[in-house]
Amino acid sequence: MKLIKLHLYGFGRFQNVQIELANESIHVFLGENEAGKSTIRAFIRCILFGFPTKQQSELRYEPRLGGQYGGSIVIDTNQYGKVTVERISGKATGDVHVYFADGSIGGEAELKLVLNEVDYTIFSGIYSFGLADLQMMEQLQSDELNKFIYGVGISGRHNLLEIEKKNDKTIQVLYKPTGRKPLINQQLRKVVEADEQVNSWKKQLNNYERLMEERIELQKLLEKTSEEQHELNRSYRYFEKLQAITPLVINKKTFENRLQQLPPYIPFPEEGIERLEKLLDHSLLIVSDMKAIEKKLQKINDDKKLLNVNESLDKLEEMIERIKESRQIYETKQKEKELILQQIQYEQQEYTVMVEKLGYKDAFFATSFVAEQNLLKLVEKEATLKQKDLLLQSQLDQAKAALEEKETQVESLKKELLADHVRKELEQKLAKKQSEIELQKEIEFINDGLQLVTNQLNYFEKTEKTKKTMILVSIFASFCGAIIFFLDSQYLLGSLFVFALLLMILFSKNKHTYKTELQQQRETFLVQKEVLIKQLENIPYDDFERVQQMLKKDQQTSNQLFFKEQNLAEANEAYQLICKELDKCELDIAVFHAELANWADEFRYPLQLEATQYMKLLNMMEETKQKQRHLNYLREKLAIIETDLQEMIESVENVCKILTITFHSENYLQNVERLVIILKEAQEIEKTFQRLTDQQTELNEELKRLNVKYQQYQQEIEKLYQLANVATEEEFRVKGKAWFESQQIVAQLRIINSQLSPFIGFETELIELEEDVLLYKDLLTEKMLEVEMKSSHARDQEKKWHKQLAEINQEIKNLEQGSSYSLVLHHLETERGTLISEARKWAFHRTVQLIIDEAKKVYEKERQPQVVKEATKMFQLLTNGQYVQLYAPIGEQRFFVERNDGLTFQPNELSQGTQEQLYLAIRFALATVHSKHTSFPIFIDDIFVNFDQRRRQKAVEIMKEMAKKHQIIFFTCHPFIAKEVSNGYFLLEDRSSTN
Amino acid sequence: MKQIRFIHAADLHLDSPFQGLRDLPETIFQQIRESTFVALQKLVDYAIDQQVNFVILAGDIFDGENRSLKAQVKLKRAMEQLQQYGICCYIVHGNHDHLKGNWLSISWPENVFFFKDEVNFFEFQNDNVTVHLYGYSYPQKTVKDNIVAKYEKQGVADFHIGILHGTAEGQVGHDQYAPFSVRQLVEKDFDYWALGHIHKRQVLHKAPFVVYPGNFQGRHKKELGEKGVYLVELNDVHSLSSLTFLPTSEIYWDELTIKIDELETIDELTTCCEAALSQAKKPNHSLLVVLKFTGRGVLHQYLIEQVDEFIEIFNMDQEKKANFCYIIDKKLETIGEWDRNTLKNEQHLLSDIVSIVDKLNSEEELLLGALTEVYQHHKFKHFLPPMTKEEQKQLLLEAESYLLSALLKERDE
Repeated sequence: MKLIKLHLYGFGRFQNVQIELANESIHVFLGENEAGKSTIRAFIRCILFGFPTKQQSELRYEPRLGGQYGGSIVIDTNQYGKVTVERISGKATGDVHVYFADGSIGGEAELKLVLNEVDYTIFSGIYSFGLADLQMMEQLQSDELNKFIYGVGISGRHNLLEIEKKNDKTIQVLYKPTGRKPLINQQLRKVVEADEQVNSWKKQLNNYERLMEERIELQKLLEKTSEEQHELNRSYRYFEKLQAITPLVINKKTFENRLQQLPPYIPFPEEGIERLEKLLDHSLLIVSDMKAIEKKLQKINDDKKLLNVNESLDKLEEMIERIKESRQIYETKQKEKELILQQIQYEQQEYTVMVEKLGYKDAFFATSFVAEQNLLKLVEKEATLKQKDLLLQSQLDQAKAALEEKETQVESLKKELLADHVRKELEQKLAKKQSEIELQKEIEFINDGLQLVTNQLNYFEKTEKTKKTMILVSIFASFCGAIIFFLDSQYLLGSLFVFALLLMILFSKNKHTYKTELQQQRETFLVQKEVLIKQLENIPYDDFERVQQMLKKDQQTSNQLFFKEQNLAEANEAYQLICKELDKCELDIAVFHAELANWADEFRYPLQLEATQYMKLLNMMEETKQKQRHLNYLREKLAIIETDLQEMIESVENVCKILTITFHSENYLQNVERLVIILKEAQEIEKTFQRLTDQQTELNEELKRLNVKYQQYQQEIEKLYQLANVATEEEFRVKGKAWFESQQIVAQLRIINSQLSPFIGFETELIELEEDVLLYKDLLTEKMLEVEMKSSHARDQEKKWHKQLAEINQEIKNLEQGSSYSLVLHHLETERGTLISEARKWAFHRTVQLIIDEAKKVYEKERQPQVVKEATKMFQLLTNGQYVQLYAPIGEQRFFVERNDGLTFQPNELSQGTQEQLYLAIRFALATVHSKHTSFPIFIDDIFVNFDQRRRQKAVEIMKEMAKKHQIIFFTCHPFIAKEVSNGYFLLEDRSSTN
Repeated sequence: MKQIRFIHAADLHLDSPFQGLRDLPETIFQQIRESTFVALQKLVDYAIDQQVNFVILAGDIFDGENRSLKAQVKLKRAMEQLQQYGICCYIVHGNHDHLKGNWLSISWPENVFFFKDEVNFFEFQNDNVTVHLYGYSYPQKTVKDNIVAKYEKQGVADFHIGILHGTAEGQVGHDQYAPFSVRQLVEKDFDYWALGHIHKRQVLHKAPFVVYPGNFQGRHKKELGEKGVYLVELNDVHSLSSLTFLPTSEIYWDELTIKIDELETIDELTTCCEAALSQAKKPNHSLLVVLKFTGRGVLHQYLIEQVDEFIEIFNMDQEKKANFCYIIDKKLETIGEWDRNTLKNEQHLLSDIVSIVDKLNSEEELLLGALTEVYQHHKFKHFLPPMTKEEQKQLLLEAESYLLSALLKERDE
């Protein structure tokens, strides 16, 4: 395989550069530093094996100067002929196209075929190296060197060894022949333990049958003892029973004896003695009570005799009670009397004052309702009349004043009027003034006409050529003027224009005539003017304005006078009317006075007073009468009160007399008090007497009751004696005592019998028992102790057997249920399962290890020696036979070199140059061995720096030898080396020259 | 018309531990421990429900010579229960519970008949049918003789039934005890041959029936699927005779194959496994599963590195379920994305490894030698079963796969 041509589209500093490689087998790239040697190396690597991805540390050499990244390489291969490999940027490692000679195009897969399975790792490990790679090898420890060589020679880098390491670690974790910790070792222990457990269980199972027999034996024994014990218990219980009843039986016998020895005690009433005692006690108590009551009665009788009782107390009480009640009324009445006296005095005074005020002594005016009503009417009438009179008087005054005022006004106006002749004169003056104004206006018209005629004449004289036009214009103007004047009613001026027009028309026919006419006309106007001016001068000048004013004013005054005179007449008429009204009113008043006098006379009032005054008199009279009446009333009331008071005093006096006590007439109240006290005393005595009488009655009754009771008790006592069949109390008491004793003994016997009853089933048994008691009385304790001993012994025995039985049962149960045994069996199997599975894991890793070992052996035996063989040859040559042998002992994975004197060295013991030569030799050897089937080009970058001339020549020789099979592409910066290596070389110019 | 009905069971292995279990949650472990007893109870229930005339247990009722008392007591209880319904039980001892074993003298109820160590028969009789049941119990663990020769029809009966614990010709994977051929049995002209010893359920012959009911509760990963007993109805009109399988195993084992060829993500793998599990799961049954991963695909690398964690996640909280579904083991038979033959032709380590594995496959001693350290160790020998050839192959396959994956992974990076 051979590279023929490089085409760098854009790569590093190169841009569209094509390099044809020499036809020779060694191609040298000579270039100084930075000329691009490394770039070319990288280019070849990249095109063949892909651009480094951005994650990788290698330089990508993307074109700095633009252009497409990538390029192509033409390769000559044995198998495919000329093939062009092109790689340009695309996916991470670039897009590759392989153009075959037959025109077909392929991709990465085809490229792989073309490169004959040389991949990047192999390429950079074997076929491409520089000084740095050799030096790096030198720095490696010998062990690592071997790894490198294995890694390179066999596959990727060091991973087989890594896998081996990892695998070995796992094996160590799983199992060590003499360890405790590894999993399998641990698991084995567990399994062994479980197995031992199973074995021990097996032994236990053998016991099963023995246990069954033992169990039956024990059960029988237990049954027997149980029966024995039952019997013992029974006799023990019987002795216990005897022991319990012994004292009772003895007691019973004693009491029965005592009862037989008692004196006769029957019949005797139940609780006889107590009952007798009680009755006697009661009798005694009653006798003493009766005595005490008799004493009390005596004392009450004595007390009663000492008391003095008033017989008519009720009546007295009633009277005094009434007086006591009237005490309040008396005081009230007294006060009332005084009040009325005061009132009378006051009213009397009032009355006197009123009579004086009325003024007429002993007068008695009527105050009847009729009188009052009449008077009221009169009063109203009087008021109306007075008002009317007053109103008329004031109206008269006003009318009179108005009349006088109007008369003076008329007089003054009459004086202001002008005299008649003066006025006529003034009117004439005014007429003259009017004609003067008209004259002045006429003169002005004539002036105008004159002006016009003069203008026409001037015109005619000035121009002959324009005559015709002028005439026409004049005619037109005149015509217009005529129309205007006619329209303006200035007939005179109008006619003038008409005339002028006619003249002009004439003039147009006959110019000369017309001119003459105009001059004549002018003359006429001038004459007229003269006349008019003269007329004007004739009219005298006067104060025209003042005259006009005077006339106007006089006219106004005369108008005013007319109105005023009319007003005066009206005022006069009004005055006359009021005078008439006044007269009529005075007449009415006179009638009224007569009426009033009539009224006074009729009702006895003094005459000559006004109606209102009468009204006042009437009212005062009314009041006086009222006062009189009130006074009378008060006097009557006083008299009644005085009679009442007198009556009360008399009644007290009366009572005093009855009670024979002195009556103090001056002090009413004191008398009453004394009466009350006396009454109270009498009442007290009455009450005491009553109480004593009641007590006496009560005591008498009590005495009777007690007597009856006493009789009853005596009868009871007698009855008791009869029941006991005795006559005296003494006899009764003796018999009672004996009876009491017998009762006690019987009770004791009953108690004993009841205590015995739980021990006895039936009557005959009692007799039997009583006999046994007397029989065993002294031997009992001994007997019982004996039984107890036997029984306790049996119990102990039984307990022991029970325990044994329970143990055996438990054991049998355990064995039968077999859960423990079954459990250990299962447990053993599980643990064994784990062991098997762990062992299986170990076996797997052990197998892996085995394969790795075998692979390494294969390498050492079949591959590595080939490398070493080749390397030896080359190293020998390079060192000119100084080093004769290179070898790697199997299993030791190290290189050794043997010098021609027989000494062996490890690579790191060699000089740097020699080391580099050694590694170069190994590289060449690897390449030679690797490429049995392929002849991949070898790329070498300036490796001869540390070589002396001789060895360099040898190296070049070897290189040339290698070049027979491989294309060698050599990069150097030394021209002499380039020359040594090859005759032809490609000179890489530095950057400046390239540019 | 004469007719009888009975249940034929064998290889109960009562209270025998399951093999190949490890690190099980306690509740699941308990359930497994009780499973043979649960199956026994089911058998009894079936017998009562189906009103059978009798029950035949064709050997290996107990697992070891050292049968646990618990197992015997439980069996006794079961027999007592049958007795209440008047159901007899005919039992032979097999290689696992032979007569020389550590038997404990338990008193059995009267409806139980054990066969002695020479061929013998018991007569079953009811109102209208007489049956002669012939049987033979193993006197010791190993019986290599052909026992069948000693079975001969005796007396007059409506049905003759042979009970035999042994290996029929052509059965692999079992100890060759009391070997016989089916033809031999058929020639004996019995009406039914109740066989035991082989754990796989199979009917070797139909007229007359020659039947292995298999064991009635799977106990390790090779005893897959539902296990149970046969309900047999024999009629003197042969065509009316019938066999009905009655399942008794509450827990059953299953091996599920997961192909990774089409799968690309772990999620897909999870879904695929879930689907397989839920398909395998039967209602009211618990499941112990061996997952077998096969095929070639991107997940190969993941499985090599993390298959244990993957399974752990599946097993999480299974013990809380009434019917668990527990992955007990896995088989990794996946291949990475490489071509073994291509690798072999390359000239570097990968080809070396492939060649070495090939060599190890053909030269067994090399691998066994490497494993001696543990597998031949006197302490382990007692507990570790020796590596079978199959296992060795599997080991090599896995190791190669592991190495190639690791190396290729490195190269790809």
